[in-house]
Amino acid sequence: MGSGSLLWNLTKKYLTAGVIGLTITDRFASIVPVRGGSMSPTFNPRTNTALGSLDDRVLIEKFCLAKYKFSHGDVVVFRSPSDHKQKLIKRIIGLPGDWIGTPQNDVIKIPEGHCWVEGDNPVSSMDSRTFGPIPLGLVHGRATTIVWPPQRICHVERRIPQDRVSPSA
Amino acid sequence: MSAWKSIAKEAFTQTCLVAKFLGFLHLTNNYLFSPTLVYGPSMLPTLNLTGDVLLVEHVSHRFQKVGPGDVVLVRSPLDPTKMVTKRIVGMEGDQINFLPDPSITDICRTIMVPKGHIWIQGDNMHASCDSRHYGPVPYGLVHGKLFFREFREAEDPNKPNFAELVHYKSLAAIHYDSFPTAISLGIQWQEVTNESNSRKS
Repeated sequence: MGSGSLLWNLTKKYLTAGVIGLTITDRFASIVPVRGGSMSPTFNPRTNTALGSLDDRVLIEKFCLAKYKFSHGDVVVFRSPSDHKQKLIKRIIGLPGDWIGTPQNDVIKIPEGHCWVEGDNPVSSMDSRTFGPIPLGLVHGRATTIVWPPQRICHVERRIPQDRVSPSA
Repeated sequence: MSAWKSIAKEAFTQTCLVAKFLGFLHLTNNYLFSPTLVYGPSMLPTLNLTGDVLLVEHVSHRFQKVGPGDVVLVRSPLDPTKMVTKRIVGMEGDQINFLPDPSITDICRTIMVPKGHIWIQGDNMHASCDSRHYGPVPYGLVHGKLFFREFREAEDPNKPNFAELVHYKSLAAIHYDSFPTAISLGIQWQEVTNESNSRKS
């Protein structure tokens, strides 16, 4: 009886901690590992080291989801539009109303409520160049800081590539 | 000193309690079900124009258990701060025939829904901004499925307000008259039958 109630107490404690943790990760901030080299050199600058790749861990803040206000150059995490189980991390290049050049050599206007995302490494990146502009509703947070490994702790810079976007007048 | 300690302890316990409460609230609201108020003309025969209270469940879309015919809550692709309620018409890989604008032409267009997307339409095709305007939407925008609605009858104030379980599976079951009506009419219904019986006798 005594051990049973102890076990129950422990389960209850773990459950509560899990629920509070889930709330914090969903509402405020979470830490996610970045896999793959699509955002190198910002994340995972050396993907194929002898010791195997060491994934960067990135702090994602979710306060930007209250109003869905983003600016050019923000690094965001979003669900892939073609597979909702997959999450991708890319940089916002264009926001609604911008004119942007696509790889097919034409210029399109980004529709309302959408954004154009691209990886920093154009060679190996699956991004808006393949699936077009994505709805802002798919965005799940903004990457602010690299928190792991310790020698790479730094703020994620907001970088705006030149000559890609011509903003709406 | 010990007084301060006890105050701090008390504060800590209270904070824990509040955090626990908020945590469970978040869990129910985002992972189980949540009440939602919807309005607007786009789902008119199914949902009222002004303020229907609905219960939305957040379980089935995580397991890909939503399909054509379900009414879902979707984050609007045009304005991410808004949510819209629409009915799923087609899943990925389906061929969709649709009228781009029924008030102008009868020309039907056919489109195939790409991978990972769904095709959503409002029940009121004349006053609905849906996939016919912005195309198929990614499945990741789906936030829940409607499964329960507070039922209000505006026409007859004498009738009791009652909540009714509604399965939004087929369009035919949606008109008010064809609702199965024996769930919670209870006493009133009983009275009416008694009256008619006594009149007969």
